Parts: sequence; C-alpha cells; structure tokens
Amino acid sequence: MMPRRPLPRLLMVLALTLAFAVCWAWRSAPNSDAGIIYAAPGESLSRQGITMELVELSSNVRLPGRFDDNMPKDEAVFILAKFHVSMAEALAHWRSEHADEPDAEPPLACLTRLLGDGREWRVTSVLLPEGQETIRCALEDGDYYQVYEIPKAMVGELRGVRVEIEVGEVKDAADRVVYADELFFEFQGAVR
Amino acid sequence: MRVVRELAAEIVSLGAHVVGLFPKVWMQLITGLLVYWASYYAAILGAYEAARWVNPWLQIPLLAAGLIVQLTALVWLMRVIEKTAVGGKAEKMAALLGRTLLPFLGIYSGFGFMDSYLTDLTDVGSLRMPTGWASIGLASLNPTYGLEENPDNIWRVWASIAAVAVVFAVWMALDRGYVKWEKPWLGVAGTYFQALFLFVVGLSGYRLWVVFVDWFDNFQVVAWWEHAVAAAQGFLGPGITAAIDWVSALVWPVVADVLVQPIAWLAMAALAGGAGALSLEERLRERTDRTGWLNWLNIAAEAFFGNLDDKVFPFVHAVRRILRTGWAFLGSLIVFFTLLGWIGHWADELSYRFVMSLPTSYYLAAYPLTSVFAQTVALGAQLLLLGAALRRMEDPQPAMADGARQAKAWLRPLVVIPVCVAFGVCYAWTLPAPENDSIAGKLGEWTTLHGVSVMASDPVVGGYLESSSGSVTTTQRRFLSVAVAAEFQYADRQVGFSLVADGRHYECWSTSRCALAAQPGFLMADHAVFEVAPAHLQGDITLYIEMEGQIPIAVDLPLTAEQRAETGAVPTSVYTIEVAP
Repeated sequence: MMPRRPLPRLLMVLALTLAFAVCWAWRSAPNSDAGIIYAAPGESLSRQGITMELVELSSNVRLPGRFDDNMPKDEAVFILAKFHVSMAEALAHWRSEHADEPDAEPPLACLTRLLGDGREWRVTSVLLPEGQETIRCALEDGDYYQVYEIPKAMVGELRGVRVEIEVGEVKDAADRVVYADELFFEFQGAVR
Repeated sequence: MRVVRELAAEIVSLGAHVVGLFPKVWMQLITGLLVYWASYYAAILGAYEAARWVNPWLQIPLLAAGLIVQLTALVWLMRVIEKTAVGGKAEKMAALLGRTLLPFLGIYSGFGFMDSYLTDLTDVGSLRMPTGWASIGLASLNPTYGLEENPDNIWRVWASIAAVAVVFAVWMALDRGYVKWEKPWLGVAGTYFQALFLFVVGLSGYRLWVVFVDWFDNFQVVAWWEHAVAAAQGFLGPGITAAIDWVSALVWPVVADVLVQPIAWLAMAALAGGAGALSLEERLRERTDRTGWLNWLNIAAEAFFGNLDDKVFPFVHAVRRILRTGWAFLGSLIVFFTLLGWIGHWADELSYRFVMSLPTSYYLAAYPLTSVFAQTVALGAQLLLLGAALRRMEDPQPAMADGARQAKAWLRPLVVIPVCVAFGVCYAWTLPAPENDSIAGKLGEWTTLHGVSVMASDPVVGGYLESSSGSVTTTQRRFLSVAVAAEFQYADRQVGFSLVADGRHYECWSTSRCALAAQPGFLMADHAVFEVAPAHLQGDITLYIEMEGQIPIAVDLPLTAEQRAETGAVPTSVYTIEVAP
C-alpha cells in the first residue's frame, strides 16, 4: 500500500509544510494595526518629523472638571494618558510647501486608542481640566492629554496606547512622497 | 424498473472503484489537495497584504498565480488518478499543462470558481481592515473611481484600457508561440496571462463596459428594445413569461450545476489523462469533418482565443465520448458527483457558521479552515469518482451482473433524465443560500457574532409613542417597539435594525435612532421602533440585528393576538449605557 519510491512521500511532506505555513501566515498576519512602531512609556518615537512620548498612563484618575459628566459610570474608571508631542519639524516642512496658502490647515489627524486584551477603547467625551488639552495634530509642541473610560474589571488587561496619525500625501521638491498615509506609534506598558 | 436497477448497479460499481482507488493514490491525493487548498488561501492573503502595503494592482497577478497553481494541482491529480485507474503511459507533465490548462480555466471560471476568490478577498479585507479596505481593495481597481469628483483621474481609465490591451496581446503572443514552437512553458505562461486577462477585465475593464452601457441606455433605441420585449411578453402571455422566469431561476441553475458540471469535470479528467481521451485518428477526423460555417467559426474564434483546435476541440470530443458511454453510466455519474458536492457544500457552510461565531481575531485566523473539507475531502472523493468513471468508460460492459436482463435502449433516457432532473431540483432546494442567510437569535437571550453580543426582548405594539418627556406621537397604523441591548468587544462597531413583518421589509421609524454603539465592556440599550401596517402584524415578525458587512442575527417576535391588536402606548427611547455585567 505504501509507495516504494520516496518522491511521493517527500512531496506529501512538502505539501503538508506548505499547508501548515499558509495556516501559520493566516494566524500571524497582522490586521490593520500592522506597520506600527513600538516603544515603552518614557521612550520617544519619531518618524517623518513627528516625535511622541507617552509620559504617563494612570488609572483611578479624578478629573476636577466643570460638569457632573466628568465622573465615570458606576464600576468604571477613567484612564489618563499624558503625551509629549513635537510636530514642529513636520509642520514647518508642510508650511514651507504651502507658503502660498497661509490659511490652509495641515492634512493631519490624530486618533488614540487604549489597548486591552483584544479590545480597544477610544477617547471619552469628558472635558479636561483647565490648562489641559487633548491631542490634536497641527498644534504647537507640548504636553497633551487623553482620557478613556473603561470598566474597572478590565484595568488589569491594559497593555498600552496606540496613536494613529493620518497624514495627507505630501511631496518634497524632488516629488517624492514625504509622508505615508498613516503612522502608528504604539507605547506598550501596563497602567500605573 | 430495469433502468433504475442499471442505474443503481452503476452507482455501486463506481463506489467500489472509488474505494479501490483510494489506497493506491492516497499519498498523491493528499499532496495535490493540500497544494490546491493552500495555494487558494496563500493567494488571498498575499493579495490582501500586497494591496495593503504595496499596490492594489498587485492583487490581480497574485490571484491569477493562485488560480494557476490550483489548476496545476488539479491537472496533476487527475493525471495520477487516471493513470492508476486506466493505466497506460502518461504524458509529460509540462506538455500536459500547456495543453490542458486553458480548457480547465474555462470550466473553472464558467462555474464561478474565480468569483469565490473575489468574494473571499473582499470578506477578509473588510474584516482585517475595516476602515480603509474600501479605498485600496478590489473597488479601488475601478477606473472610474473618483472620476466625477476629479476629472484629472481620467488617466485611470486609459491605464485600465492599456492594461486590458497589453495583457491580451501578451496572452495572444504566448499562445501563438506555443502553437509554433510547442514549448510547454509557453502554454503555461499563456494560460497565466489568460487568467490575468480574466481578472483585469472582471475587476477593471468591466467597469468601463458598465459606463458604456449606462451611456448607451440614454439612446432612444434602448427604449424601443424595451418596448419590444414588453410587447413580446404581452403577446406570449403571463404563463409563458412565468415559465421563462422559472427556467432561468430554477431549471438553468440545475442544468448548469447538476447536469453539466459532472460531465465537464469528467471531460477535464479525460483530457488530463492524455491519450485515453482522444486518439490522433479521431482528431484528424474532427479536423476533416469541420467544413463550411464551422470552419469560419473556428477561424473567427481563433482570432480572439488562440489555438482552439489543440485545446478546446479535444475537450469537446471528450464530452462526446462521455455522452456515448451510456445513459445509466451518465446518470450514476451525475447523481454520485452531485451528492459528493452537496456534502462538501454543507460541510463548508457548517464550518463557516461555526468559525464565524468565534471572536473576530479567531475567525480571521481560522478563515482558511472554513473550506478545508470541501476543498480536500469532498473534492478528493470527486476526483476518485472521476478516475472510476474513466475506468468505466474504458470498459464496454455495463455494470449489471451477468445474466441480468437489460432495459430497452429507448427507455433509458426516458428514466435517467427525469431522475437526474429530480435529483438536481432536490439538490438546488437543499443547498445553503448564504445571501439570504442569518444567524438565529432567541428573544431574551444573548447572541454573539464577531465580538458583538446582542439581545432583543419585550416587543410591544401600540397606537402611539410616548417619550420620557411626555410628548405623544400617534399613527394611523401601529408602532412596534423592541428593547434591544448590545455589548461590543471592539470600539467603532455598531449594530442596526430592520424588521420583516409578513414578508414586508421595514426600516426604523426614526432613522436617527436605529443603531447601538458602545465602547468595550459597556452595554447599551434602546428601543428599536417600527411603524407597521396592522395587516402585516398578523403574519410572522422577525427583527434583524445587523453589523455592517455581516450576516444579520434574526430574532422571531412571537406576538399574541392581543398584542397584535393593542392600540395603547409604546415606549420609545430608554437609551442607557452602563458597564456590562
């Protein structure tokens, strides 16, 4: 019943390997978060003129806000992420490219996601205290804050924050694309 | 009865040959089927990654490459099985590929196998990259994409036309080269470019055809034609028109899927078998017989599709040989082949439903497993059946035991054809219908799909809506309100609602409050409110809860007669959001 020649057996092993490799590739292929560059909290990440550092990621934050809505729901907590952001180089480059359009806004948009175990949270709509600003691209260099609301029971699974920066296509003098469509900075670390 | 016995004897004989063949070729069978299955999913994943990170146009060559590897695995398997079942000297693999891939591709695309590439790629792309796939996926290959907003994008139209023309020219050149020099690699390369051509036309060039048809629709001649068709339908009467609709909706799919497909596959297997399928003498006779209009047709066809004489006519001849083998044999092949395909379809569907019920991250990882049974076990059994059928074609003796009385020859088609058609109708009716499908949810119970859990409860019918502020909205019909809660594993997801009452489709009464969305770990609840005609409340009522791009969760709302006749207040928004328990 078994073939005498080794070739069929070898081919079957190769086919099994191929099938296994395809399964493995499907299992480990990244989803839309591929292309991320990573750092730990306290380290800064820099790409294409944009530099970012996660200064602080803390839970049980009380926000001395201006409205009652600034309290988390029962059994939920606020998580605060503080970033140091520098976009001066990128913005300067963009402005030099658009010197003839003084009122134009740089085509940048920043989104952040709090990362859990297979879950992600976006920023809540609570108001930050006076003097604190949420991240918006195209701002001056400085410290910016993000607040997330999550169930208390899920604090233990938090593993970091991801910043997505969507940039329009910008070309340099040699007509080369300076920016990609999206940049992903991910700061991996447990919440304090 | 004798014909039925002959049919049964043929089925038993084929089954015995299938069982006998498996131990002889199991190793090659597993090898070929694994390559067949793996190359399909490698092509889809590769196309997705290439579109995501390099260029959307790379999807086309990668899908075409996957298709050609699949066909090569099939040809190799059929050759191995045919050689084992029938014997004789097998043709060299490279020469065989050059000669057989083109008809294989024709059959393959004709039965919609290429469509499944596009369906699966779209499915995977939209799940892996929910927010950006539309701009880089298959839709981005549409040359008219963004043309209205920006006329500068006209270059995309020219690029699409140029791509179609260049690929067609290369295909033709390779095909001519294959005819002239008979180098197998030229035949394989030509078939690859034909696959490229089909994908380029289907994904890009076809859109230009649609634009042309839309433009052409403005002409008066189209209105004349439509009037002529309407007049013809009026002349024929509603009975004939309904019969035509019935044929196109039910009979033709049965004919194509059930009656033609097994014969086409067996002809492919006979081709892959090489010499057994067609002798040189027969081919020569085929050539000399072809005179008059057939010759002109051949010249015209060759101008567009290359050397049909070497590729397509052997296939046609193989079909003729199968049809001559005998009615009982033909019927048994159709029944057996279709039964195996039916088992594969259902195994595919059930595994798809199981994998789809998993959280999205598991679902995406397990996606290739959804068709592993259909593409390996069921297909493998079908290939063995083709081998057994080829062996039967070599044997002129019928499968009935010696001494058994034969049925009259004229009786055989009269029995076999209705049996096959009846079998085909049963097959068509019992196939899963994914486009109309849904996951069944129960009232008052949670149902989870792709990381979203939903529950519907407390349906209420009434004559007016009363908001929490006390304002009242009345209706001449009825309001139906259902409390719905949803919990999400991922951010940026939402579910929407619709209602089917007595077969009529209803959207939400207020489109601004027709969806639920919450961040992970939180639960959101609200009322889905519909305004429904009272008559439609007397039939079956189903609430559909749907996440964009996914099949819906269907929850039956079993209302009592009193509830259906109720005219009191109906609760409206009780929007709440809280931490999920």
